Amino acid sequence: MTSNQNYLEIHCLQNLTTEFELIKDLKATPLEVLEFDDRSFAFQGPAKICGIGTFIHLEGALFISGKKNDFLATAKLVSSAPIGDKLFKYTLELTRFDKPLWESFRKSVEHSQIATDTLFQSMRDHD
Amino acid sequence: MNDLTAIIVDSSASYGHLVASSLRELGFSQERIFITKRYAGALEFMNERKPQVLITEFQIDGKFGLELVNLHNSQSAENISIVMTHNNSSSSIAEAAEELVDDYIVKPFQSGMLNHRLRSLIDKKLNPSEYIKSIRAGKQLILEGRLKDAEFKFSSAVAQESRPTLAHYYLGYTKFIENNFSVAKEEFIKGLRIQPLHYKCLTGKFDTFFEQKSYEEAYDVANTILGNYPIGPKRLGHLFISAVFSGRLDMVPQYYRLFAQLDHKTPELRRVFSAALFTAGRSQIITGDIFKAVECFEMGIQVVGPDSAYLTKVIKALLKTDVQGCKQASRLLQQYPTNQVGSKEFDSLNFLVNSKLLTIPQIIEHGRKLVANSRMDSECYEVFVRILLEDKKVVLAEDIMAKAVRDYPEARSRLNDLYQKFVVA
Repeated sequence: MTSNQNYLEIHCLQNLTTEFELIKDLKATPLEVLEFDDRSFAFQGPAKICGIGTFIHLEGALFISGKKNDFLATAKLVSSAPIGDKLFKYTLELTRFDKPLWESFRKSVEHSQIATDTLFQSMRDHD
Repeated sequence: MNDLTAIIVDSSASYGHLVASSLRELGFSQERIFITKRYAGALEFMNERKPQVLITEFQIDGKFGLELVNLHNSQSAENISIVMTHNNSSSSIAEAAEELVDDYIVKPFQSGMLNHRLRSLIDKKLNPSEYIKSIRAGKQLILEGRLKDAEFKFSSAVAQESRPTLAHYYLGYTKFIENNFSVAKEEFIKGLRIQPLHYKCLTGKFDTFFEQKSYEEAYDVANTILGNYPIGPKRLGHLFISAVFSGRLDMVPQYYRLFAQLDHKTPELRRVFSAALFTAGRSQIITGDIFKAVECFEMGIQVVGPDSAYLTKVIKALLKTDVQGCKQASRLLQQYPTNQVGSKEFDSLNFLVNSKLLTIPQIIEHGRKLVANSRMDSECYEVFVRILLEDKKVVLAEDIMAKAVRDYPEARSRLNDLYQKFVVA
């Protein structure tokens, strides 16, 4: 990925109570976050990693305009829905996390899309 | 929307499924959504099924999603294409806009944003205004090669809108395809009167000047484009040529920087750019600035990579200059592709360089070795014979000439002329 991009990688997901890893080998193949919100985000994983309401400890990296920031948080699984090929879309709600860092990530993504739209519209002139 | 077919091309299965799920929520039927991680698979599906909607990553499988967009656009003017990518560099966005992508979505996104954007884009595409309907009908006629009918459609579009910049652009574009450059230019100018920085009209005007080889006018327009928009690979080559051919050699480093910043450097762009850098270097030689000439040549070498033909051209151009230029040629020879060092081409080029820098006895010794091993090309033979004749080594020159004529019979008359010039005179 090139230098000015924004993304979140998850390197570790653990059941907060049992400390079991919910998905193996995330250090080698980190999870990619697909969608996010003010205090939640969604990713895709194998079926039944844990039940709704499970508290999770997560470790990852937030890349904001290409700059890497360590991201540690506690979250709760709030939804899971099948999306094909025996895969599920999981949504985690963040409960304890670095709010300013998360907000800065959210803003950076938002600004990136606005800047893209402005440039794209000015050149494209839709037909 | 359940009669629309969509293809999603993404190396991430997660994103593929996420988009598919959004499309289903919008009413697409499951069996009309095709997800692939492979460029070749996408190409095959697009040729067979001709989907109306294409959602692709910027880069897929080492290839470029915009090539799929190009194919998709050539299939119908009604098609919808979206680039969805982490890549938010301005040159990539510019390239997508040039390829007429309908939307550019940066990953990851806010929850709900994807659904919202897909819905609004598809709604807009399926329910266009009368003006846009005429434009699209005209574009479809261009695809079918019916240029006169297209022109009629675009002319009627002009009357349907109070600020018909886009209609003027397409009218100009139709004339441009017909090689009617003066009318094309008038239409682009009409568009620019309505919107002075309208990107398509500016590029249309530039292309018209460029095709007419009016490089100074083209360069003026290029400056306006560069001052207001990022440039993608499709256009940068021509913009650069206009700068070089209009004598703006001071702009070379700036264009080179733009080239270096591009994410996608097409082989065509590399070819155009290196040729323009070679021309710029030669122009610098003519003005007597060897240092700047070498700078241009070195940029050209960076652009094409290890290419013996390009290096040979550059080195031969420098050998026609002064000692300083010949020393630079010798330095550049060190960049010859390693796997071709020792080839006949390399040995010949090396001899040409040495013939400008070594003493006469050293040159003769080097030349004799190459001749004995049949490592000289016809140009080298001529240079060697000339040096021998100038040094009054007539017998040796005659021997070498005999060998040269055996190896290259077509060189006989040139060598004879040379011999006559020195010996008979």
